[in-house]
Amino acid sequence: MPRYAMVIDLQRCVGCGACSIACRNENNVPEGIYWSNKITETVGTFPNVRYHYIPTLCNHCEYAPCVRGCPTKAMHKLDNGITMHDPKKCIGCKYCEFNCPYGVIYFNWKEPHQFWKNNKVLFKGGTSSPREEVEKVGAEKTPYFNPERGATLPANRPKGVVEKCTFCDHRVSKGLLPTCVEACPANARIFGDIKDPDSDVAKLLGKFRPFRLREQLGTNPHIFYIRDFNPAQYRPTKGGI
Amino acid sequence: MSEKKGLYGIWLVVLGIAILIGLYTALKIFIQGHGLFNTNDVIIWSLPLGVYIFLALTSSGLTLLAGVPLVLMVKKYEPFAKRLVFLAIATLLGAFVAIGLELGSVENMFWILFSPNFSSPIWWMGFIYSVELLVLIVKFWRMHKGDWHSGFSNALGVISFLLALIAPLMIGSVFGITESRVTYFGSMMSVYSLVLGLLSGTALFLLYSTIFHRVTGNGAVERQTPLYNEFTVIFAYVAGIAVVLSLVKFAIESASTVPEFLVYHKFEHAFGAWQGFHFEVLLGLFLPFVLLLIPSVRKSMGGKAVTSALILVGTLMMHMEILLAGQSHPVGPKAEQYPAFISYFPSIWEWLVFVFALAVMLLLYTLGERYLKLAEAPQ
Amino acid sequence: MKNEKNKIQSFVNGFRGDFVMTRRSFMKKATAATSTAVVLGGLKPSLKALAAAGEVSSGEMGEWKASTCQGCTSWCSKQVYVIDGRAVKVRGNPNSKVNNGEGCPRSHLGLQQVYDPDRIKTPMKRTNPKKGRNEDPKFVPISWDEALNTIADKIMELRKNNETHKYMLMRGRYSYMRDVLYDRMTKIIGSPNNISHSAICAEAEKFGPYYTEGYWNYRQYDVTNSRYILIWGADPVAANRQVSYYSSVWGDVIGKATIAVVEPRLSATAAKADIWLPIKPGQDGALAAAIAHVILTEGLWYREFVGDFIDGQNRFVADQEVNEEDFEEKYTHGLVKWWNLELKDKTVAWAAERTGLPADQIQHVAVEYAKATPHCISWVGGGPVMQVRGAYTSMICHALNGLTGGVDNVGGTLQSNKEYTKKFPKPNDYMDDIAKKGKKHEKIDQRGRLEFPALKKGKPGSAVVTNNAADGILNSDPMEIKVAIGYMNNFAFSCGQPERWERALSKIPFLVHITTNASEFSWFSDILLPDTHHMFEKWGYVKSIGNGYRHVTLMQPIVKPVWDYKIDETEIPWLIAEKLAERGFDNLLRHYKEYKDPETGKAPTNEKEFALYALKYATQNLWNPSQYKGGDKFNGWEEFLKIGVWNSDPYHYREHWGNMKTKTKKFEFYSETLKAALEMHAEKHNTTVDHVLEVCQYQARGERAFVPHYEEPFIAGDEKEFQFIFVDHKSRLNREGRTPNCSWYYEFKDVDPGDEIWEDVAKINPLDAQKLGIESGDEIKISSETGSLTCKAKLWEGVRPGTVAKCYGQGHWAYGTLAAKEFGKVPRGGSNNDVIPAVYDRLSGSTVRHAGTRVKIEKV
Repeated sequence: MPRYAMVIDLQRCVGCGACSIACRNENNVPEGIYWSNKITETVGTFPNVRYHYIPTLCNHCEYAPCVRGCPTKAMHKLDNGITMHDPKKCIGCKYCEFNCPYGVIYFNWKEPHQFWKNNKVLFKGGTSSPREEVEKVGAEKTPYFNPERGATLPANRPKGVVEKCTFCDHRVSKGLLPTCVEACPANARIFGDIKDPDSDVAKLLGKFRPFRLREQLGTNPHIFYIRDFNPAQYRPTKGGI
Repeated sequence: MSEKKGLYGIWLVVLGIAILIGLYTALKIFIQGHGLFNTNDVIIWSLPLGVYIFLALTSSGLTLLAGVPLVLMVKKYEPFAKRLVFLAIATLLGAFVAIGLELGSVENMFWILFSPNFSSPIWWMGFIYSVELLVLIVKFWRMHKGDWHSGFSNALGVISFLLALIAPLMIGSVFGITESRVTYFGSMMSVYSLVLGLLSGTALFLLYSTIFHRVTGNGAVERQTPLYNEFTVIFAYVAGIAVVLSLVKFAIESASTVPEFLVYHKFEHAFGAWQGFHFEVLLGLFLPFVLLLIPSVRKSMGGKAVTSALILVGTLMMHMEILLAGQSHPVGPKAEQYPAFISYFPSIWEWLVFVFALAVMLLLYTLGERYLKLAEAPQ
Repeated sequence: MKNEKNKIQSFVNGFRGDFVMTRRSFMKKATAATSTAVVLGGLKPSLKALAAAGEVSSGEMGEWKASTCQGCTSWCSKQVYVIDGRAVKVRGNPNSKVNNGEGCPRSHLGLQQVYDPDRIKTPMKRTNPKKGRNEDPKFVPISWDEALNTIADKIMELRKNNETHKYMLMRGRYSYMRDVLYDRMTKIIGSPNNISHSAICAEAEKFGPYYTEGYWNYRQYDVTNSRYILIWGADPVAANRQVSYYSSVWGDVIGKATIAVVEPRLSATAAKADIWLPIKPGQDGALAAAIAHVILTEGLWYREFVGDFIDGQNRFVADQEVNEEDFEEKYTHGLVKWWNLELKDKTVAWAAERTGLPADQIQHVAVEYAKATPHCISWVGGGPVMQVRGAYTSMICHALNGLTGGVDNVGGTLQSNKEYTKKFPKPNDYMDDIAKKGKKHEKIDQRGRLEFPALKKGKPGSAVVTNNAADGILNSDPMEIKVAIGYMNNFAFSCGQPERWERALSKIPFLVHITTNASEFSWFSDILLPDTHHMFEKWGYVKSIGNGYRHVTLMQPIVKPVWDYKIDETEIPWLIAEKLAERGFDNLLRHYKEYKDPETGKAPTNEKEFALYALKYATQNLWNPSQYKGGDKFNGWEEFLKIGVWNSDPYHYREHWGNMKTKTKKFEFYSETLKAALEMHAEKHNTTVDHVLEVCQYQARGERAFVPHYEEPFIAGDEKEFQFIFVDHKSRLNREGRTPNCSWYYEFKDVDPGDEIWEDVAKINPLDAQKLGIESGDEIKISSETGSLTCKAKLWEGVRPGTVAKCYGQGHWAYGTLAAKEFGKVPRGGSNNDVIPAVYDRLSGSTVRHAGTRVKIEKV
């Protein structure tokens, strides 16, 4: 059984957010919830300023606090290392969200995709209401609804349960890369089996000194970051008094 | 007497209305979801959870007190035992109302039985309180039947006492194992929960008793005054421990350079903290503690009522403060979508959940007092 | 306060920086935890197999179909995932060598556009005869037939009255099917007035390359072979052009090349750059002049391209003239003239004073840049050139590529590869006397007048002056416009000082808008025709360059249309032609019937056939093996359609050296080409070049007009009242200002550095904000001499003090229910164009959007 992991090469990352938007699309993620997200920072004072971007997603921790705390095992580990959630077992206690050190779990506070239930029409007879559009297109909840997400998880999650990144387990099981990996125009995301020494992730981890988020918590996250968002050159200096 | 009857009727009507409103609230939440709460993905747990913690711990406190006559066999407290057990049951049911309306998918609760996770403090907490409820009910039934000290009955008492000791520790560890939220982390939260549970349980019993005797004009009070005074001493001791714990907590918080503790200086909201002062602790714990040190206050009915009421409200607020302070800043990438600090005030629906839980509890008190001979003691 | 801020900062740092556990200890732990699983030996998926994902996999429910994205003018080849006729996902087309299968963030928003409920689903007509910003048009749905009959009647009326020149066609987003509607239909009806949007795009960007190397187009940049990339106001990993390609290689590029970004705000590209040069807006020419000065005085020019002093001794010494005979040029022309006329006194100290950049930094950048010759790039974006006087900045920034030999060279700037698409049949035989006479009138944008030289490709009056058409219409000068059609344009939002367009459009008695959404332009229209979405519903093709290739990529109808849309550039003109024929004027229809299917020789009989045949006609040299000329080879139309993109042959470096399309065939530092064009224009107006320049607001006189040179910025607004220079920039998520009706736009708006989700913010340096007493989140009003907008303030260090930076895109008061705060009335956020005056770079005809105005900021 493989152990999936992801390497994110920050030098390649251009901070465009294509990962997050494609994720929203692939996983029918509702408004306000971000399975794929980022941490940004503007450092320095004008004119010595830079902006940094660290893409984030579920870390698929080996020792996942969300899994440890879930009372019904709705949040659980798959054999391939993916931290998976089963909304049918979820009682909506939100303890996983409370427990996650990485802020990647969200709760469905209301019925998702409410915009598309709206019956308001801009021009009577000339435009459609969101609800009419979805019905006419023949989709579920949103016109661009992706039914393939439904293979391992309700394609649209109900209100009252949490949700988060699943490493696109529905794709991975079919031999497809997670959507964020495929959609990254910068090839900044490298996915694979960390146990296989010939995998690209294993090779990269052997080449760089990666860092992980909040490593000291001992969660053993499986998203590894290599290199730096801004590898800028600068003129050598010894500083001064 | 008829005036009293009239008041009793009005009281029942008020509780009935509160429960109807509560049922409507439950329906509304069930249909529309928890978007009705002033929560978000940063402030995840809010007033209903705070109320649950408060009531559940209070119930444990009451059970622990009941253990004094029932487990430790201090006979002179036996006249309080049945009422204490009943109050523990009713309070716990109130807690269950609050948590039931806090859970997103309460209909999936059966998975707690079929898919238990033994490493989850939430699971243990749910399990222990469920068993506790069961045990308390059986114990109460035995006592009601006059079986106070059979082997079975005693065993029930011991079990409930032990569960009441563990349950607060579990509630504490729900927070205590969240490594990611340092303001909670550690065993302190468990000890703190236990002490606050005992404190609010004692306060509730004292307040309840004074109000009960006042309302009913029950003559028993004269006979039991010395007992209540002793209880008040226990109360003062527990408050003292809570004061010490709170001081330690403040000291650590204010000396810490860990940024998460910043919220204690920065955070202001409706639960007592204002201008950097924790008024809920000052007015809800320190002040009553000081008052309790005065013998005349301790001995007067009014003094008991005021101090216990202050402490009861204070404990709820302290639970809310702790709960919110650990959630007031977004974790990790959530800072991208949320401001650096978030303040919270409950929505009308959250208040109504609180009202519902209280109404259920109070209705049970009222009916129990009327029909279940709570003052009974073994001959 | 400060301390608290630091603590919060340290929290953020702590979040990412906590790597207490070493990798070694982690690996040990991981191995221990998982070794049993290894022993038991599960499946071992091959990552190589995973990486090949993209081919249709057994588990997939739909099919990837080829199309093209026109969200920006990168014009990437795409694939759309279609399930049961419904578009579900978008990705880069792996068959393209330009975008290499890569996508970008904005492409995904196409899905929210095609299924936007606010799209017009049927033709509509205006029922309120009064037109104006405050007049609700009261649109009601009508049939296609009624709409087309009305349009045909109006056109026939013009023909009957011999005033076909009062017909006007306005073009916005186009494919190369454009000529059907834009050119042929306008000509055959008989009007000169086909007005494109090009001048609000980036024509000034093409001006510099044309008048130095004879190339009127956007360049491609050989970034992977480059050692130094000097970027002027371009943001290649975020906005135009080839965002997908540059994003895909940027991580390698920044490892190999030094990247310096000249821009007053910290752009996405600047965030990853080695050097950020936050220049004072409008002073780019000064920096370029100083860099050229350093290159020459330090003797760092590329001798194999430029040549050398005959005796090899460098005579370029500051403030000293050089004798032209002493220098022997190779592939360039006029270097010494340029030095003597412009560069000799443009020292680093001189530039430091103007640009607000430290002198030693300028010196360092210039030297390091030149040391990388010839594998270095001076990358001219829209920022420094879409300004009053931007034409010369375009020249001087691009001229650096001549000094370094980076032009047409490995690791430098490249031209376009050859492609073989075919032009549509000529209209001449179908233009009757009315048409010929009508066509001869002057154009409504007044191009070619003394004050609008608009020198596209060396020809005066050949470039469009889009934004001035509003004034032409308002003043009925040179003619009154009676019937107008606009398609996929929104000049009442996308042009500076749009209030003029609101009045101008209100004045047109009969205005038709072909559009997907009821936009600001639609608000003033009489008839709205529902347009197809280019990526999912249209037949067409576009061509684009990048990565050393050119591709021709197809767009095709690949989803079931939800409502009754028609294709703007083919179906609609055909349907109009049919209606005109019914009314006795069949020239246009007969012309369109010439667009025969190259496979069957069949003439089109309806609009659907016409749309397809026209595309097959135009692309036949690419897919018909018997007409093969180069690049990718296909065995026929079906295969081409399936692959969706044709790639050119790879780029041949240095083919243009000595063979440039300039007067001298060389890279002109002294532009004989510009000289000829300016003299031609002056002659046309019986005046001197100096007078032309004076009228057009340029500073150069005499010979200086013909060399790349620095001109002081010309920025509207009094410095005392309007203390800030307004800096406009583009968003990663803009699909040309058309995404603000998509929720994803707002949910991810913060991918633009400094911006916020669900807000429209103006970024202000904290120093300035402090003086104004403004904090982040405050509602502010930004006003210029010509207009104002309101938005939220955002304090951000990535902005030059004295400037305020704001992203273009929001501020719609129409377009849709999400785009506008209150449709037809209140904008959501503020539109940058509301503060930008209608001013021009008159040599190129470009509309100004950068360094165009000063503004004042007030708290609301």
